[in-house]
Amino acid sequence: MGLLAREIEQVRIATVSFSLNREQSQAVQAPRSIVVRFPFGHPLGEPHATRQQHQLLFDAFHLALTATNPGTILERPYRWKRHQYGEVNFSSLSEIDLELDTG
Amino acid sequence: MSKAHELRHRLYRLADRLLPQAYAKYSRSPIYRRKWRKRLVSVTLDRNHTPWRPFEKPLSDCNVALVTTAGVYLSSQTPHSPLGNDPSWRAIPREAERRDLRVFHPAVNNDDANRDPNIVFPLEHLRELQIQGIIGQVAPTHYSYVGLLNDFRPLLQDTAPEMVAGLVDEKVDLVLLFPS
Repeated sequence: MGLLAREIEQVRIATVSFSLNREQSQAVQAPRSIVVRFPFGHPLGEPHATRQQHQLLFDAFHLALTATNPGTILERPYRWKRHQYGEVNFSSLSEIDLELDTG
Repeated sequence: MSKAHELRHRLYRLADRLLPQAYAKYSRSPIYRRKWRKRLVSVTLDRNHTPWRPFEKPLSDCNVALVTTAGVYLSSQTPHSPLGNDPSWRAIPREAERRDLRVFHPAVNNDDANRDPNIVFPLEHLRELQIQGIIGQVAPTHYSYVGLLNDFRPLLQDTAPEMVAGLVDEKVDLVLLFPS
């Protein structure tokens, strides 16, 4: 996963990689990773759990907008099936100030 | 659906039941970790340089694509190999409906992902976010690979560059990647 992210970022397209294994993310050094402690096959959590899936997508977009260091790993604390997810306000993403460095 | 097609799907469903538990145990073992590190070392990975594209566009102007290694495919396409070591990709168009999406990763229980492909490939959510104006556009094409590679070189030398060229052609700004 991280290897593909690196290949994509090489051509100057931003990436956010989900990961189920922090050790692998650290080894590969993907540009931006979100580590979740969910079972294999479930990077966005449970089937039909829309709020959970929205929360993780929000986290991914938020990381894309705010990360400033290559190799950033964000570990999310959500517990499998035992976390209460609220309504996600995606519009708040538009209020984040963007990094102006053009690299 | 042809008889051969149906037979192949049956075979895959059987593999789906038998393989995941063994793989889940194996992939957490020190033997697997050592093997994985060795495979990683075999590819040229410059650890002192992580590629980086600063994000400089409002999300509402961005063209967003998905890449997964969960083995997503359309019902009209051939699934990835149940034996692993398959670096090929499947292109999934943005209009793909849930009923046309299938998931087969030989080392994972795919029941949940087949019930709701959004847990490995949130295309429906992206389309909703485009309608709400949160993202600018859902990219025309999305890509699916499958994990479980013994050798990363065919992926990095052949099939990943094909996908990367497609993303560049379609002027994608942000890619979200999902493992399995």
